[in-house]
Formats: sequence, C-alpha cells, structure tokens
Amino acid sequence: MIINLAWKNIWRNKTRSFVIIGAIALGLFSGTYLSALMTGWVMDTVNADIKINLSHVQIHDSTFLQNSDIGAFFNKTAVEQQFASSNINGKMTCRLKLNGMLASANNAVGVTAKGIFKDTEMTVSDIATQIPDSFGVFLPDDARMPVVISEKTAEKLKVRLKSKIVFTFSDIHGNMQSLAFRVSGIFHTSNGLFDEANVFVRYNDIFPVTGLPDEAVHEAAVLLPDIETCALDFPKIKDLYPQLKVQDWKELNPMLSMSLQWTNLMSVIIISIFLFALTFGIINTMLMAVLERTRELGMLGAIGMSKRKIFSMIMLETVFLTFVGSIIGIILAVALLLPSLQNGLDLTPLIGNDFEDFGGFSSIVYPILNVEMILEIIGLVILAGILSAIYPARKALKLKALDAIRV
Amino acid sequence: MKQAMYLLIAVICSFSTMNAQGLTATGIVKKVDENSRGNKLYSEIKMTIVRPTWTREIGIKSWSKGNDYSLAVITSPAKEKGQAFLKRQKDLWNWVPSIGRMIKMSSSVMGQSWMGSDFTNDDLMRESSTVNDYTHRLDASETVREFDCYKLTLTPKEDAAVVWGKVVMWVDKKDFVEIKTEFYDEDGILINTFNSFDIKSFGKRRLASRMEVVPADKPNQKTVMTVIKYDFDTPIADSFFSQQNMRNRV
Repeated sequence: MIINLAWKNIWRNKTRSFVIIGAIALGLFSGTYLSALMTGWVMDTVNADIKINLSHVQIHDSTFLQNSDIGAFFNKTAVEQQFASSNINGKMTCRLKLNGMLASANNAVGVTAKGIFKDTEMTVSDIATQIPDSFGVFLPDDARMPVVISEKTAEKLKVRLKSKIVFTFSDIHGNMQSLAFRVSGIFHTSNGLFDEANVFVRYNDIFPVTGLPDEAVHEAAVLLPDIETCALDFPKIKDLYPQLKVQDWKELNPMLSMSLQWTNLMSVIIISIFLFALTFGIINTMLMAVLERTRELGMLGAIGMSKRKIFSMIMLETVFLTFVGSIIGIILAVALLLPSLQNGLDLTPLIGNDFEDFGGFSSIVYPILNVEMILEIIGLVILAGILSAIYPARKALKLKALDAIRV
Repeated sequence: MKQAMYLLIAVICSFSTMNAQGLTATGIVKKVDENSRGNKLYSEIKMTIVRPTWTREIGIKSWSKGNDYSLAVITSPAKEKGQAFLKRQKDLWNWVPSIGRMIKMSSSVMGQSWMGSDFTNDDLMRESSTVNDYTHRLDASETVREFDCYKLTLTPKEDAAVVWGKVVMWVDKKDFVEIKTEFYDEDGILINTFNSFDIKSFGKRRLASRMEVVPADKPNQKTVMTVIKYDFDTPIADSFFSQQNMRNRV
C-alpha cells in the first residue's frame, strides 16, 4: 500500500522527478563508464607486461639484481626439476641475460640480450606473437645466428630483416666478446622501454662464448594460469628456492601493481564524489516535496496514518527516485561499453601514442565491466538515497497534524 | 706421365693465385697491415675535429706494442690534458685526472665517440683484422689523387664480428699505404671514408703523415690526424703499459 502510494507520489511532479532521475543517471553513467575504462586500461597494461616482460614469477641469483653481473647464474636443470616435482600448475622457461652493445655500420646501442630456449619461452612469453606480419619470424630453427630486435632498435641502428648486427659484451673473465647475428624478426610491443632495452637470441648461439659452466642461466620465468593463482602459488615457489631470489610481478614492477590498486581506489573516489554531490540534489528535491505537501501530510496524519508509515513513505519515494536513476545510468553505460568490450576503444586521436614510451600504456583500451563493481555502485547509490532522505523525512514527522491542515 | 701432370696442376694453381706483379689480394692486405702496424711505436699526433660551426685540436702522445698494448695520453688542450687511455689485450681503461679516477670502459660505451671525434671507442679497440675477418678481391688499378693504386674489395666473412657490408680500399703500389678506404653498410650505402695524404719516410718505413675520416651522412664534418713524430726504434717493455704509468705520463 505504502509502496504504491510512494511510487504514485513520485510521478505527481514529473518534471522535478525527471530532473533528479536524469542527474543521478548521468552521474552513475559517467562513473561506471570511467571506472570500466580505467580498470580496462590498467588491466591491459598489467596483463601485457606479464605476458611479454615480467611473467608472474621470476627467479634470479640473489646478487643478479644488483648489477646484472654475468657471474650471478644458477643451474638450469636443478631449478627446472625442482619446479616440475612441486605440482605447481605453471610453466617455466630459463634465460641468459647479457648486457652489451649492439652495433650496425650506422650506430650502436646498449641492450640486454636474452639467450632463450625457444620451446619453453613460447609457452611463457607472448613475445613471439609481437612480430607483425612481414616483419620476419621469431628465431627460426634453421637460421644461422638469428636475433630478434624491436622496431625502435631497428630504426636506431638503421637495419632491416636479414641485416647483420654485432653484439659485444664482456664474458665471465671480463674479456670482450663479439658475435655477428642476422636480424630474423622485428617486434613491437606497447612498452617502449622494454622495446628499447631487449633483444632475443638463441641460448645455444650465445652460450659458448660466455665462458659460463654448462647449464648456467641468469633468469627463470614462471607463468601461472592467472593473477589470482599467482597470489596463492607465489609463496610455494618462494619456499622451493630458499637460496635464490624469487619475486612476483608486483615486486618486479611495483609501479604497475601500485597503479592497479590506485585505479580501484580512484574508481571508488570518483563515484563517491558523484554521489556526494547527488546527495545535496536529493535532499533539496525531497525537502521541496515535503514542504509543498504540508497540508496533505497533515491530512494523512489527521485521518490516522501512523508516523512510521509517513516516514517510510518519504523514504521509499527517495529510494525509488535514486534506484530508477541509477538503473537508467548503468544501462546507458553498459549499452555504450558493450561494442568496445570486444574491439577496444581507440584513444589514439585523443592522446596519441605517447604513453607507450613510458612503460607500456597502450592507446587502445579494452574496458572491463565488473558485475561486482556495478552491484557495489547500486548499493552505494541506494545508501546515499536513504541517508539523504532522513532529513526531509524528519521534517515531515515534525509536522503537527492540526497545524499542518490549517496552513 | 702422372708425375708430370701433378707438376703441371701445381704450377697452374700457383700462377692463378698471383697477378702479374706476383701479389694476391690477400698478400697486398697483409703487406699494408704489417707496414702500418709495426711492432713498437711511439707517436705524437695532432687530431683536428672539424664540425660545421667550429674546429678543435687535440694533442695526443701514444705508445703501442703489437695489437695488444697501447697507451694514449692527451697533451692539449689544457682542459683535457692528462687524460689517458690504456688498452691491455681486451680491456680498455680511461684515467680522468680532473676527478682522479680510473674508469674501466665497458662494452656499452664502445659505440660512443672518442674525445668527440668521428672515431668511436670501438674503432680504437677493434679486434677485427683486415687480414683474417675478410675475403679479399683485387679489382683493378686506379689512380687516386696522384697515387697509382690497387683497388681492393674486402667482404666480411659470414661469422666475422664486423659491422660493415663491404670495404673498398685503394692501396699505393709503391709504398703499400692505404690511400683511401670506403666503408659501406649492408645496403651498399657509404658510411665513412678514410683518406691518407703526404706519404713521408719515418725511419725505414714510408707512411702517410696526414689522415682523415669523413662520415658520409654528416656534411662539413671530419676528423683529421696529423703525425708530428713517429719512432719505431725505441724498445718498450710490456710493463710500460700499466695503470700506474698512465697516471703520470703527460
């Protein structure tokens, strides 16, 4: 009965109700849209960085991270066997990491050469898929001394596919070693810093000149099914190798994990600000609705409607207003987001490609719609509606029936 | 009969590897290499860096022994005086007196310019040898400036750690001095040209006394080395090439 009455009361002044519903819808729409976009942007970056650069977990010798010393290696087979016998559902690959200079006839750049095992590398890292069509292939087995470099490095060295480049580095004894490679593929990721710093060669091509003992590697990378399993399995992996430095992606790139948390916080803050502003609008509207209806409310009291029922009627009116508004807002946001969930939203005309240069923020964003987040937002809106209805409803309660009728 | 045929084959083979003057392309390159490197060498050189808007002169004293040891000290201008570079086998060290520090030059700085010139640190350290890392071909006789030269094309061997696509060299027929050398990348684009001028006698040898490096893609830019003094006769001990010595040699 009260519910019916409250719903009908809303539509007595259509303009006013539509204005407040519109305001709520607009606020919710932009809040949902923005946070989906932001979460998508950061999650894209996190996933891309994990798939191409970080993996979920990396293992190094404990001194390697200080200065990437060539002597800070560990035994590949031992580490791999330990991992295989641990029943952790994940994939592991090992790499050599050598700092040195890559030179062409035109120029020279400092890079890290990753000496990889192609079979396992391709199960852990997506780097092989980052080579566009007609830009070669990832270290083909039949090639002599192939190297895969990034588009940026290729531009700096002024080289193309099949060009010869020379990699110079210090071996374990401190002697300079030079090796000639041929470019077999040119990759491009959304992380400009990664592109500039890394080149890929086959372990077996570069290992013989390093002077390292057999089976020596500098890095083991582990890819787990997803970020959630990583949180569970990371401590287990850490326990497997007490003598080595084991780090998860959050430790490897603290900025990345921080930006993920920061985005979640930002979404909440933005929506809270919207709601806070909306609260004033709702208070204003409901106060008007109550003051306008002094006579009517007095009459309801005089014919015996209890104060509790009057209070809940006003409350319900507010909740209906906000609920309708938020549903419309969220439906609008979802409708607008749906097409870009699959194909992504190209922000290049707005922001250009500049973000790629610092740390891999792609200009194409795949928004992420989080049902949990939407439910949270609806809950927050209704809470805000109820809180802001308290003051007008109290005003209605304080009316003395006889005085009110006489107005 | 059989013996005679073997003899004939041997004779033909030995002839086919020689040209009219009895020199193969590889032989010429070897002679140039021996002539220019020498075993013990003290030199005083003036290096002029020419840029579009300015030029700069640097005085260098250097000692070297074979390919493994060399020591170079900057003598002028005053700002850089006392800076020293020491090469011992595969290591390169730099002594900077203004900060009182010895710096071991890592592979990552090898691509950088040496003292702001058109030489890179790598050029000074380069392990590649014109004799072993290339296949040589004698193309023709040509006259470069006033010199009658052999024209040679050097192509790097597949596995050689050489950045050039090919090197074209003109060698003086009389004195076996590189008169002009052109360095090309793999696309056949000219990168650097090396020229020598003013061949003079230094002791028993005849060598160029002025050399220049001209980068092809930078107009009005070059680096000129003028020889003030060469000394081939004073013996130098291996122990001369030490870190202690590089600090107080000016």
